[in-house]
Amino acid sequence: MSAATPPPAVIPALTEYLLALADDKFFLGHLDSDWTGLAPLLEEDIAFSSLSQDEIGHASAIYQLIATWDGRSADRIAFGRAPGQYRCASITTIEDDFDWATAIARRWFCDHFDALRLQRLCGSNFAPLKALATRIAAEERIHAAHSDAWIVRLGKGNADSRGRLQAAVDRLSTPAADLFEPTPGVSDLEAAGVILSDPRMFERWKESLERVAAAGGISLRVSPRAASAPPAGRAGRHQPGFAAVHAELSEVFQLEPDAAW
Amino acid sequence: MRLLLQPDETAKRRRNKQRGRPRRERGATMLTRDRVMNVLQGIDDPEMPISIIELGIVDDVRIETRTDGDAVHVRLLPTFVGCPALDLLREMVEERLRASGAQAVHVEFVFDPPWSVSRISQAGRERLERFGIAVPQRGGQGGGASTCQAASRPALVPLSRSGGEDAGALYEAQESEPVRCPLCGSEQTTLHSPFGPTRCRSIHYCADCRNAFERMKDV
Ligand SMILES: [Zn+2]
Repeated sequence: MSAATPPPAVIPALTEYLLALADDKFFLGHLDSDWTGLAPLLEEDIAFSSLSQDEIGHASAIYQLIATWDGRSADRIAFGRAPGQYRCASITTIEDDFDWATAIARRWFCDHFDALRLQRLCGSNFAPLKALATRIAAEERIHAAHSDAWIVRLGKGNADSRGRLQAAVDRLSTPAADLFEPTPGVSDLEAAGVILSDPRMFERWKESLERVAAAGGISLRVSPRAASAPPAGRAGRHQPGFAAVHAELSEVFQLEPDAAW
Repeated sequence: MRLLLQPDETAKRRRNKQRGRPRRERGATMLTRDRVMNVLQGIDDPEMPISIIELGIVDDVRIETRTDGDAVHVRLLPTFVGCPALDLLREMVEERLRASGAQAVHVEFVFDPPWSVSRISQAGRERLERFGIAVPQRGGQGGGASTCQAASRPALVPLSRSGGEDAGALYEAQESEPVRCPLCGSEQTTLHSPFGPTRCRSIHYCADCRNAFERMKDV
């Protein structure tokens, strides 16, 4: 029989790890939803709306899972935290200012990271997490295929599209490496079997991005985040742009935090 | 006098008899699993003309007999994690089962086992095809729902050739079987976009009848 809640000793570490996952999805999904009605093709209007719906749906399911052991409701976890309590990496809060190449590159780095992160959760010995992660991973296959297809299309397009994509990829490659900033207690989670360890995760991420970059004829320079790098998004130290995005997405909730929806 | 008393007595006796009856008899017959399944069979998915039983999203039904009436617990499997129709679905199931005599209805969404197109029944497949939505025959086999290893295989790869008639095509689909047009039966079809009108459907194009059609995603 599988437990309905994780072992008490790992709850703080698991909560942090899952908040990072859900917050990444929540912020990315929110930013991507700006393209609804404005994407360059009708198909992409639907695609970005669907991607946002997926990401926010994934985030919501993870917040609900956390709520099963946390005292707070899923809504309060999603909307009711102070800015310093969010665990999203900076790349998920960088606005694209309606530059299509930036929106695509932002998704691309995140999609490939999520595919690997979810593999670590699909092997969890905590059954509810394993089931949810497996289902999310199946949906994420389509997300990665979408961003890969656009990297190739823009890269093989004309000088303008290739130039804009290259600029976006170059600009985002450093904040993208911050996705790897660890949350506290990851080794405890691995030891308890709640997540799988993946010592080559950065290399695998880089290799999968490089294959697509090569197909699109663009260059890619990503370096691992230095262990000595100052605390960033995963520790609640966000970029200046975070405050505006956070205020926007929690605006309605903050009008009446105790309202029943 | 007796003539006046008699109907009065009868009415009193009738009232007493009613009061003595267990409450359940007045509401409806006792719920059985078959009856609950019948009610659920009559509920269509909010976004497609297919029963939620045929769609395979009903995982389990449990009836709890209580002194104040039966409570029904229903476990449902979302097709997609972020499906926006889940709340509507919950309300429909609650409403219909209450109307059929359940005192309380508890709907729970779970992800274990994961839903996949392989759960769609033959009757459901036929209904969807008649409506114009194709369904993968060996659904779920080549998909990514069941294991993480399968999920890490690419679903689609970037298109390396021209999309031909479909100028908007972006991907080469990695299908485990030919995709058959539900309108004319042709297999000369291409994937137009994996993002359709709902999260569980993709959009395809048929080169023979030159129609766009939808297909349940092979997950
Ligand atoms: Zn056709």
